[in-house]
Amino acid sequence: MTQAKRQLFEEHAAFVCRSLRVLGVHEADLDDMLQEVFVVVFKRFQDYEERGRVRAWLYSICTRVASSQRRKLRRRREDGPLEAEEAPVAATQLERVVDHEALAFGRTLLEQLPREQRDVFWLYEVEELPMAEIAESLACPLQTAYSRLRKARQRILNELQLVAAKDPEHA
Amino acid sequence: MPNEDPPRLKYSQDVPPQLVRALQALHQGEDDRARISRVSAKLQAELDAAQPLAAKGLAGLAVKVCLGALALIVPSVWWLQHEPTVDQQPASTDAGAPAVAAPEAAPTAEPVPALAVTSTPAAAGSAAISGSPRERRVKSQTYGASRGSRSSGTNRVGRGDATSRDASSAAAPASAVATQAQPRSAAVDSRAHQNGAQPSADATEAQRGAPVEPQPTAARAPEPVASRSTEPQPTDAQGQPPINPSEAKLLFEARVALRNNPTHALRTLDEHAKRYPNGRLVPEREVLTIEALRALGRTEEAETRANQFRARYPGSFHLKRLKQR
Repeated sequence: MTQAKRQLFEEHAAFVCRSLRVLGVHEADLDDMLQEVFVVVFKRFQDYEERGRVRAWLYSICTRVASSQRRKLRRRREDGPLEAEEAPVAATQLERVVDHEALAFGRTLLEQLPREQRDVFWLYEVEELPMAEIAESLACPLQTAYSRLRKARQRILNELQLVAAKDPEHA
Repeated sequence: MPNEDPPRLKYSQDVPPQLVRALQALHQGEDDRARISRVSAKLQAELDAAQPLAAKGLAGLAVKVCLGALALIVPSVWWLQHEPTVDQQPASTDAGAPAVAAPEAAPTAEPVPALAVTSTPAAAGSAAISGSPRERRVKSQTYGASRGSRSSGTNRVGRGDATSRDASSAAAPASAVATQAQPRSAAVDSRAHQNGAQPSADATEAQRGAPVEPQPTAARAPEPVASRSTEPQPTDAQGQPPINPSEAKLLFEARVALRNNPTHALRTLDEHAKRYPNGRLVPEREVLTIEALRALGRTEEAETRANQFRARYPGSFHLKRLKQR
């Protein structure tokens, strides 16, 4: 692996893992998906010129790679609850369990969003990319990106209210 | 809407803590260090396996590109070096072998002054310096006509007949030539000019109708030229009138003579200069003249003319020949 590619992998592999999870990639398939994403990245490495917006570019690749995996995931969900398919978590620390639960909850919220809104929400709220970079990478006007973020926030907050109404313990 | 990024939810006070925790957890993610290490090893192995193939591919592509370039360059260089000049065109036409043979025979057959050339003209005629398809057609037509008139005893210069005939009838040739296309008649003219041969009745203008009578008199010489020059001719690909076959034929003769008899070649070139002072083949004539002068040891004169040529034709491809010779 060339030095540049290795550096790219080391800097952004964790981000890709997180993105793939958010995009619904099953934990058991994460290794393969992570590898697949970077195979695509390395192929397009020479074509990518916007070095400063790597994460947005990586995310777009992750969405495409995950889309097929999500179809498989849906088939798996039909066979059984998602929790049952989750790899067992060796939660020796409370934070770890809490985090895992929060992770699952966060992913559930994101899955409620339309793809366009989810992309903007994830990249801005979670990965903390600037809106200008997000808009340029998603090939949409900045105002459109702001609009999608606003709508995503509204939907999530509404979802939270619904969850709170259903399960007061999680409010 | 302002173009300022709004404060992120995880740092807002009005956001439910559950959401904040979820966002923080999403940002922190899982501990993927082991996973990242595994995939890194897989990617390294995959890239290492792909590199030799890529290198082969690139090497193969490079080889193909080089071969393709050579395939284009070599023929081009060869063509440029062997590009037939106008004076060689006749040989390239249907004359073929006979034409080639004829010229060579000419120098030997004829005495220095005489183009006894009887064969030469014939040969030249056969060489058919046809500058254009039209010339060739006329030539073929005149050749056919000449066949009929051959029986008259005239020394007609047919393509294949030139050589044998010429040897036997030094004087006649001029007359016979008329049957040929202008080149032939021109050659005959030149010969007649030298030999004083009289054109025969057969020296007809079966030729394209030009008054190309094969009259080997000096006076006659200009006529054909004039007539030929006035003869309406189609333009070539460059929009210029096609090269006069007679003009080209003279140069061809000069080129052939240059090998063994540069003096005669020079004489022929002088004749060309008189008859076609502003012909289309002036550059070629100049180059041949320079070569003839060099062959005769008149180096200083040759270099003077070479410099004049370079000044007059700075972009001419003949410059190569001047350098090589």
